Formats: sequence, structure tokens, C-alpha cells
Amino acid sequence: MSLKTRAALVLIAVAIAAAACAAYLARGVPLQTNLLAMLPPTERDPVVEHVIAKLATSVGARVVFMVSAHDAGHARRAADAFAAGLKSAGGLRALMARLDSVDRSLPAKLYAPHRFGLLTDEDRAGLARTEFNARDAALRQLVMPLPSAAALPLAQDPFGFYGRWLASREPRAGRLRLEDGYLTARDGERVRIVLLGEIDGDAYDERVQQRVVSAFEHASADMHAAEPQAEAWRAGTVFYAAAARAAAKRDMERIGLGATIGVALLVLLAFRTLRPMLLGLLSAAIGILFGTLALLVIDGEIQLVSLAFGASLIGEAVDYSILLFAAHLAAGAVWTPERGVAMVRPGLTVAVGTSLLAYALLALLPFPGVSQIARFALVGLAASYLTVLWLLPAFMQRPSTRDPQAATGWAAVLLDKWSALLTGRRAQWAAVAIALACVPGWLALRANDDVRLLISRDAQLASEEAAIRALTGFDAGGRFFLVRGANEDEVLQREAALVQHLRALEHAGALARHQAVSDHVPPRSRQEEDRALVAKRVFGEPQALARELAQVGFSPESAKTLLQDFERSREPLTIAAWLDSPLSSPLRHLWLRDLPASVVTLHGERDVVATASIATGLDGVTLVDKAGSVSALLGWYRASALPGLLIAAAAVMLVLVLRYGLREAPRLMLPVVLALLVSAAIFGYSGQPLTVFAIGAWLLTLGIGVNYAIFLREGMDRRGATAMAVMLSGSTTLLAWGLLALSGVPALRQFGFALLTGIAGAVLLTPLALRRQ
Amino acid sequence: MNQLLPRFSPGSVPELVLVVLLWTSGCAAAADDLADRVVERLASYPVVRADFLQERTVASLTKPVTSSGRMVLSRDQGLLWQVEQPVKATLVFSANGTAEGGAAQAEMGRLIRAIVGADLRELRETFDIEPRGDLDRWTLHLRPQRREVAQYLRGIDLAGGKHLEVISVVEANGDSLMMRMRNFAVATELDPAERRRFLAP
Repeated sequence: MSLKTRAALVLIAVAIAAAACAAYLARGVPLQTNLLAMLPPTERDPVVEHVIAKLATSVGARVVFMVSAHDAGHARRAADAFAAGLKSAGGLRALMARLDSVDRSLPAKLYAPHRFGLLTDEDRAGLARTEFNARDAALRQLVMPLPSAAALPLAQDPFGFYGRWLASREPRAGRLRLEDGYLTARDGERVRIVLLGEIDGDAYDERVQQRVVSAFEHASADMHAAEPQAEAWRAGTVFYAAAARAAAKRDMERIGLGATIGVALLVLLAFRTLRPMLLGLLSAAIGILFGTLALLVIDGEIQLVSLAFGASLIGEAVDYSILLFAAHLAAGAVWTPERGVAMVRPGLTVAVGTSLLAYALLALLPFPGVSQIARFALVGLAASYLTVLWLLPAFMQRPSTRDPQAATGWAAVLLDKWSALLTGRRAQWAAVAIALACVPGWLALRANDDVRLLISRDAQLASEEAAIRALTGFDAGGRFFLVRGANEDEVLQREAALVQHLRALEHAGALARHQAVSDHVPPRSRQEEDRALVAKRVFGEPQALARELAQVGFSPESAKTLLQDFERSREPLTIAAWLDSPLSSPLRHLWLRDLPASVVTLHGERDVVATASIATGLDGVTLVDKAGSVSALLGWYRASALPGLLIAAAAVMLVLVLRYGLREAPRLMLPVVLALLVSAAIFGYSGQPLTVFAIGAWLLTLGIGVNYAIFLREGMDRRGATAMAVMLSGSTTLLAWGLLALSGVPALRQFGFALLTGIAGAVLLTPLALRRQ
Repeated sequence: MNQLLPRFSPGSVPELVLVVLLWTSGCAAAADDLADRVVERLASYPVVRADFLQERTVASLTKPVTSSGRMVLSRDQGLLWQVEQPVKATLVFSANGTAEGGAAQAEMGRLIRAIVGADLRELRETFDIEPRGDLDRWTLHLRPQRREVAQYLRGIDLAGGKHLEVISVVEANGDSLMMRMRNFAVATELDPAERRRFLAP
């Protein structure tokens, strides 16, 4: 096959791939911004994963706005304008800005028929402990210096059992209260009004994000038009997800653009013509095209991180073309494309082979995100490699007109001087000094696998959310208990047992509060026992009870009605009745009817160990801690990535031994190994935590760094051109990874920082790979 | 952010009389009208002890219920309400909201803190205050502003001279509560037994 036919075939393949890619992307960019989706499922129990996903959906759909002004009148006008703006903009499925009127009879409708089976812990203990005195109990209700305004008319709850039970179910709403229908918090000089909303779709869906964010902006503008001094805050998963997407897009533009411009300038500087640059970028672009297409075909969606990573892959792919252009420059007038390809092929193949080997090892990691990055790189780099061998030579028919000595001589001089310095006696002392200086750095290395450190949170949003949490008292963490049982009542019983333990924690201050269905629907057996206790102690002697109530001042009729109510109320309150009542709407997501199971959420956890320990010994109760188990998993992978690094090094070594023999291979490995050791020390000194991402980056450094040694070793017959190619390759790679170290995503930042330090070291130390003259 | 839609109770009721008692003990405002001067005077006593007589009229009861006992009001600690007749009962409303009682009392803590912290604004946000008389013989009529409060409360009347002598509460359904205080004694601090009641209920 001639050069031209091969080039034509490559171009046809590129055209087809581009068309396929465009067809995929025309249906919308399937960009995944949920960083947790990068990670594998952590729970061995599929039910737990299912519950986590379900909760994330119902909680992720919620948004909170807080509108404030310096007094109530302005705050209310601002809230009205804001709500009207939100409604006209769309994007929200539901918005609660003002409660028109609260139906105060709702609790009575649901609970009053079952009230004799509903006792607080204190009342239950009190009734069980001592003889019940109806007169004193009724009087105690009446002598308190408080208006009655009870949950039920006094005659229906003369001893206050039901009133106390209901009051103890009420959540504390922080500093919020209803003022003329507005959920209001007074905060120093400002009056703040809370608006609650629900988004219309998945919080990670770009279109949903755009709708909600633009609705918020629209509503804020309307609010400022009506009340210029007013302020609006927001909280909710959708805003974080939108901010993360915007930040990643900025990253991508910044890193991609920066890398492109930097690489272009360097190439221009070295080759004095735009041609190699354009061809180099063409080869990189073809790599990215095939990488993207592979992900679309294999995965169906692209992780945000893969995309950012892909942008910086330009640096690595361009290395391959640089080698070819350097050979072109070095050949001078005797250049033919076939000869050029023959010249670079051995080194390039070994180099690409080691890179692909490193990426292939990475692809084996069971992280969806990391293995996607590796797939992207494998396909992209392979495509770039083939482009360099098959397509680019067709565009490089004419030999270089520059004098090879003049064009590359400076690099040869630089290489020789630097080699001399590196291998000189003083360098040996310097090496000892550097090695000693590295020791404290290694000792300072600390692992930290907390996944929350890896997720960047927009600072502005985080401070607004913290303020909203403080004012509203909504303070749920990510941990919750999952309670399972054979049937609804068993779930409720087990949950009630758990809640007893939680109450003890709350009393001790280890927990602020919890939310549990059994607080609102006690288990059937508990209700029956409580009713039996009330029957025995309170209604045991109906005549005596009627007499004592009459002494207090109750009419004979009201005492009779009370006795009748008691006789009639034999059926306990059921989950079904609770689910049917509007009262349950904020908590309904805690009840998983199909399993059956329930979720108990924890608010304001202060002692994670204490909370974790209470689940042991309770049947059917599991503490679910997604962030905790993801962190543990990350730690596990970090621990196993270290041996992985050694295995990869051994694999690279094997390739080198096969090609260069047992004596020369270790020397080729030396620069990159030293560079990695220095990079690890820098991590320790800078206080960067050691994570699986840093070790993954060192794995790549190994693959890329060893390339430089191979290029140099293979290209000694044209040392100036090769030295220039290595320097150029190193600089372009550093540009791409260096910019990655500036990323707003902490995981990428660590990745970039590890590559930046590792590659810089590998480039600088590469001459050590050469045999001493 | 989790659990963003709390179940919301339509207003915590029993806070009101307490608010009045503590407010009158704790507020130190500029004396620009009678209400402010009354508040300023009542806030000048660190501890006040008094006997009280309470009468509650409820539609469903055939006769009013009267009770009597002692109260101790501390500017720093809160209110101790000890009923002696016709049944013994003690209620502690601690200024920091952690004293005895269930969630309802805890719910009041927020309000109590505002009141004890001399936050006259808090009451003005809840009530329209209409003063009559002069500093030696005054009455204050409190009418709820918030719809949620008006749903269960018609109004509160306060009367007194050097001290707050009468509190009269009329609920929206017509039930009423009247408290008369007498035999006032001002002190600079709580005695140890009272202090224990506040700190370790």
C-alpha cells in the first residue's frame, strides 16, 4: 500500500468517525457531572444502593430559597416578587412561597380517633409507675399559666396525653415560624423568608439545571426591580451540580485552550513554521475524536472528568508528531517520508507500547470514571500513533530546507552540557543532598481518602447553604439508618427500638435530632400496649372517673362522650392512613412501601462513632454511609494502587529488557524512578494528601517518563533533533498537565500536580539514561 | 442539603403569657413612650418574687378554675411558676430553653432567648401595643399582628404600677385566663434552692 492510499484510508476513517460522533452528539451531549458516578457501587447489598439512589432523587429534587430585607414588609414584597418571577420562568414543579391557611384540623383528623394508644415515653412511664389521679391530672392541665389552645378541645383530651404526644412529634424548625403564611426567620437586622421548591427532573440533567438557574436569575432580577435592597440565597443539589458543570466547562476551556496555545507556540519556536503545529494538532484532534467516539459507543455517556482529561491529552498525543518533525528537521535534504517513518518507528512503537501498557493497567481499575479515562487514552493515543505513521508522512513529502546542524545543534549542545553536569562529581553530592532532603518529605506523606475532599463545592453556594441551614435547622448529614423487616409492623417495631437508642444519643448531645416514620405511626403492638395501659389506669373505673371530672368542672355529658370515644377507638393508627394524610408529605420518602423498609435520617450528628455503634445488635438495622463507604473504597484502591505501580514498573521493565537487554534496561528506568521519588517527597512537603488519584498519576508518569529515555536512546544518531524532541515533548506535556494542576476539581488537581512534578523530574533527569561516553 | 421540607406546626401557642412575663422583666428600651418606660422600669429588677392568683374560664367547664401559688422571675434565669392550690405543680421556663418539659418548651427557648436578651422588637413584631394611663398606673393592651397568632388569641391586657400586677388573656374561642400578682418582693439574686430549680430541674 502506498503512502497516499494509506493516508486516504485514514482520512476516510476519520470522516466516518466524525460523522458518527456528530450523530451521537446531535442527540444532546450525554455529559455526566455527578462525580459519585465516577465511582463503582460501594454497597454489596443492592437494596441499599437502590435506597440511596431513591433518596438522592427525592432529596436532590428539593431547592430552598431565602429572600431577605431589613423589615417584614419589604421582605414579603421581595418574596412575592421572587415567587412570581420563579413561577413565570418555569423550571420548578412546585413552589411553596406562602401558606394560605393551615388546616389546623389535619392532625386531629388523622390522630384523634387513635389518641388513646398514643403516649409519650414520660406519660407511659408515669402511668405505669403510679396510681392515676384523674382530678389532679385534669387540674394540672388547667393551672398552668399558658393559654389552652390545645390540639383538641379540652373535654376530648382532659389530661393532655394526646396534646403532649403531638407536641413531642413536632420537629423544631430552627428559627423559622409562620408569619401571615410566610415561613419567616428573624436574623439580627434582617427578616428572612424561606421559599421551598421542587425541581422538574434530575438535578444532574443539564437542561434541568439551565432552567432552574435561569429561573433563579430571572426571579432575582424581578425581586431587585421590586425591592432593590433585598437579597436572595439558594440551596439545593441542582445549584451545586450546575456550578460544578460550569466550573468544569471553564476548566476545559482554560486547560484546553492554554495547552493548545502553549503547544502551538513551542512548536512554532522550534520548527519556525506553522505546518508541523497544524499537523500535530490534527493528529491530536484525531486522537480525541476517536477517544470520544469510543466512549460514546462503549459507555453511552462521557464523564466530566474524562472530558477535562481528554482536553489535556493533546499534550501527550502531540509528542508523537514532534518526534517525526524532529526527524524531518534532522534529515535535511536527504528526507523521504518512508525513510522518516522508518527512523522514528522503533522508538515511537516502544514508547507508545509502554504508554498503552500503563493505560491498560489503569483501565482494569473498577472505577467507572478512571477506567473511562484509560479507555479514552488507549483509543485516543493509538489513533494518534497510527496517524503519525500513516497520515502525517503524506503531508511531509518535501525535505526540510533548513540546515539540520543550525536547527538542532543548540539542543545537542544543551544535552551534552546538561549530561556532563548530571554525571559530574558535584552532581553526585547534589544527588545525595537531594535524596536526604527527600526523606522528611516521604515521612510527611499522609493518606486522606475522604471523598468529600474530592468534590469541589462552589464557595458562594456553600456559604449560602450554611446560612440557610443555621437559620432553618435543616441539618441532615449524608448518613442514615435503613430498617428492614418482613412486614410493615416489623419494620416499625425495629425502627422504634432504634429510635429509643437515638433518643438517648440526642439526650447526651451526640445527635441533634432524627426523622423516623415510627415517631408518627408507632408500631401496632406499642399502640395496643399503650391503649391497654390507659384502659387500666385511666378508664378502669368509669364511674369514679366521671365523678372526678365533674369535681374539676367538666359536665356529665362531656365525661360520657369521653368514655364513648375511648370505647370506640379500638383500631390502631396504620401506615396507610398516615400516608393518605397530607401531614405525611414531607416524610413520605422515608417509607419504602415495596420492600418494606424505612429510612431514619440523622440531623446534626456530632459523634459518628456513637451513632455507628448503636446499630449493632439491632435486627434489620443498617447504618448507610455512602460518603464513608466511598472513602473507604478509595482508601482500599489507594492501598492496592501502590503494588499496582510496582507491577506496572515491572511490566515496563520487561518490555525494556526484551528490547535492550538486562544491562541497559535498568538505566533507562532510572530517570523516571528518581523523578517519582522526588515527586512523592514534594507531595509530602506541600501537605497534599496522598490519594488514589495521585498514585494513578504516577502510574501515567511512569509510562510517559520512560518514553523520553527511549526516544533519547533510540535517537542518538541524530542527538540534536532527539534532544529537541524530548525537550519539546516534555514541555508540551508539562503545559497540559501543569494546567490540570490548576483545575477546580480537587481530584484532577491532585492528578495534575503529581504528573507535573513527576514529568518535570523525568525530563530533567533523562540524560541519566544514556550510556556514559 | 437534606430534608428540606419540614412538617410545620401552625404556630406554637403557649409561648405568649410567658413572653409577656419575661419580656416585662428583660427589656431595656429607650423611654420614648409609655410602653418603653414601663418596660424599662420592670427590667430594672434582677429578681422579683410574688404571690399569684389565677382564674381560668373555659366554655366546656361548668365553673372557672382558680389556682394560687408563688412565682419567681429572674432576669437572667427565667421564670419559676409554683402552683400550691388546688394541686401542686411546678413549671420552669429557663432562659436558655433547656429546662424541664418536652419539645414544646424547647420550642419556646428561641423566643425566650430573644426576650431575655432585651429584644423589645420581638414583641412588637408579634403585637400591636396600646398603652394607657401613666407610669404609676398603666395598662398595656396587646393585639396580635400575625394571622397565625390571631387564630387562637384575641388579646392580652397587662396592668400594674411599680410591678406587673394583672395579666388577662382572651383566647380566640372566648376562653380566658386571668392572673393577679401581689406581695411583690425585689431581690438582687436567686436563693440557692431557686437556683437549683433553674439549673437542675
